[in-house]
Amino acid sequence: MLTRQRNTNELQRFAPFSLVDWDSPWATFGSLRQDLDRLFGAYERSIADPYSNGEGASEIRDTGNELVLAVDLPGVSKKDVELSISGDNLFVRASRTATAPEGYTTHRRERASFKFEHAWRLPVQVEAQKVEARLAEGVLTVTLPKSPNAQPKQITVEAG
Amino acid sequence: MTQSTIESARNTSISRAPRVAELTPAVDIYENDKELLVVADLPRVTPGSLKLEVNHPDMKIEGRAVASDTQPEYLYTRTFHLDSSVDVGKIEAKLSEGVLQVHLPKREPFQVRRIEVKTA
Repeated sequence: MLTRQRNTNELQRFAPFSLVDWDSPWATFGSLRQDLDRLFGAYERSIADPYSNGEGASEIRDTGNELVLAVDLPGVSKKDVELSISGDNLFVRASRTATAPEGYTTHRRERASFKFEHAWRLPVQVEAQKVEARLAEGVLTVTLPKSPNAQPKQITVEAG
Repeated sequence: MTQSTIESARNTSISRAPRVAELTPAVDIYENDKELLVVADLPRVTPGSLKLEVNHPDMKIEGRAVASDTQPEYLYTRTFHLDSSVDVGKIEAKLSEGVLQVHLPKREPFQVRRIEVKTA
């Protein structure tokens, strides 16, 4: 699931009925509610903060054998990222402190300090020992290999 | 609502065409005796997808963050007006941890020079 709150330009992204699962129409209402929450979140945020620090936007992708989580964390250094897994919950905690460089006077200050905290419920079992995390280009990428029984399997259908 | 409007609305919501979201990156501006320093948050932007263009008196930052299955492409743009004190030929930029730093050195006559006062 994608969690993101950005500015009004994002409004075009919300297309709640883009994929209607007619077999379980009630599921659509759940995703509609999520979309509306995001829509109003983005709207409120665009009033409060017209500029984008771009922090906290995240996505989880399923590549088949692993899950890949990406979180935008610009200006956050490695030592300020905390990552933990407990059962099927994944926690990420990160922060940055915006300080003016030494010896400079400040003319404009839009880049804010932030504290980012988020928990994800993982949809499948992962091998916690083999999880790898990387911080590059202001993006935290966490690769979570699925445990063997959660990996996709091909089953041959035999003619009887 | 006409039939064609409904039709086009439906097509828009179904299509998975790449979308571009334009964003204004947050920026800090600092100054010391020798230079101006512009700092901008550009997560997911790589040096290859970042364009810094000076067309006097404008300096434009344009960074693209690539799209993925669920995230649209982000286009971060911001334009600044440079005054004549900036030595355009000596502008330097560095991108690290998703943060861009642009150093804009001042031309010689605009640099602050501190003069030591001597006792007679």
